Amino acid sequence: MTANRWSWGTAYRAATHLAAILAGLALALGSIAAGAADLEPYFGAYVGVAKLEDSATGEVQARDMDIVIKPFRRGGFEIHWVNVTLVDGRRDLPGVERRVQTVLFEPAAEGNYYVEVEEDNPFRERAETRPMRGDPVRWASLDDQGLHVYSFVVLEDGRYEIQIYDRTLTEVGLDIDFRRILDGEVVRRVTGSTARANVEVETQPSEG
Amino acid sequence: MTWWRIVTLIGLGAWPLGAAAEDSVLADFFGEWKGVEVSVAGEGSLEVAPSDLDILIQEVGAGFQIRGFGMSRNTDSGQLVRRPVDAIFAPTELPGVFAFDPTVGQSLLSSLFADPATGNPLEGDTLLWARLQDDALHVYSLAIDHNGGFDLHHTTARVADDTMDTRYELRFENEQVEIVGGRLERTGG
Repeated sequence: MTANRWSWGTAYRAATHLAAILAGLALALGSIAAGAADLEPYFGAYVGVAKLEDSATGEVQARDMDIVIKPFRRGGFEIHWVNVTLVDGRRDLPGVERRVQTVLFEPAAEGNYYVEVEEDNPFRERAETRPMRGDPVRWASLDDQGLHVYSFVVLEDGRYEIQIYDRTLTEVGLDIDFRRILDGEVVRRVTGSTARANVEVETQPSEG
Repeated sequence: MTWWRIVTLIGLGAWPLGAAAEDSVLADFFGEWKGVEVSVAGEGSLEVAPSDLDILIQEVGAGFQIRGFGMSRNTDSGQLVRRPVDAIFAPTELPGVFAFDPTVGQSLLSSLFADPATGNPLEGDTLLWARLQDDALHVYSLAIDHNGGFDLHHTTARVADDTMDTRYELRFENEQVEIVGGRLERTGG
């Protein structure tokens, strides 16, 4: 009869290693869960209106907004928004403009904030970002005041531009405050409010 | 861990009223400058004396060196404190734009800034650069703190003979802005 070569020592070491793996996994999941829990109140679809003020031209425009915020990968989030610039307050006149944008963020490797990534290139945040060569620096943060998204770039003439999006939860949806700052001067500002929208997904075409 | 950022403060001299704004060359800014007047605007508790604006700007190769007092902000307490700054700038391929040069005369103070070729604020690096345009020398720095907030510094200097005007702006926590203005007089160089 072949002796069982397992000993209590071997079993103890195996159990210790397994416990360490499980502890590490629990810590990682806890971190992800914590991040996701902080963002969770922001997840959803929102529709609303905004006002754009351009200090360079003096122009004031009305906009419709359609925003979707949802989870992305592990602990990250996606913001998809559609802005419709109205003409005389209407969407059904020539000259109306529609702009669609999507940005993806994942938790930074170090620091309590998020870095922008590309969906097709999950390792983009690790690629070399060279701001002094004109590469934009984009990141997001979350605090008691709201969800903040930043985009910074050094222009070819050495001036800087920073765009700041602040999204604040309200009882009915999100308030939006956007500033475009060019070399210290606020050149564009957009403020608006939205309501959380009920999203209905139809699996079969309906007539109404 | 406290996340310290360096604020570059350049003192300024008065710009003569009615003087035409002509293009300045970099050499116009070279010299030893002594602060004689200072003003502070903002919500922070920043105390600055005219002597804090004292600065040396000297030629280094095709670029320049700035050596003078700077400020740093404790992101935990929000308190601003005075700290010296020492940095060398070299021309880039962009006309009038200078980047921090980490290869020349590195000091303990200048080591706080990132190599422009590789520096990334998202990795804790502080960017530092400058530009000369028309009649003004601009110096900038950007740092992102551990919680995703930022400190963005912008100093503008204009010279007229032996006086210099400076406007320093620190933008942090999105909406907060501290502005320090002053006048300096050339004492040497």
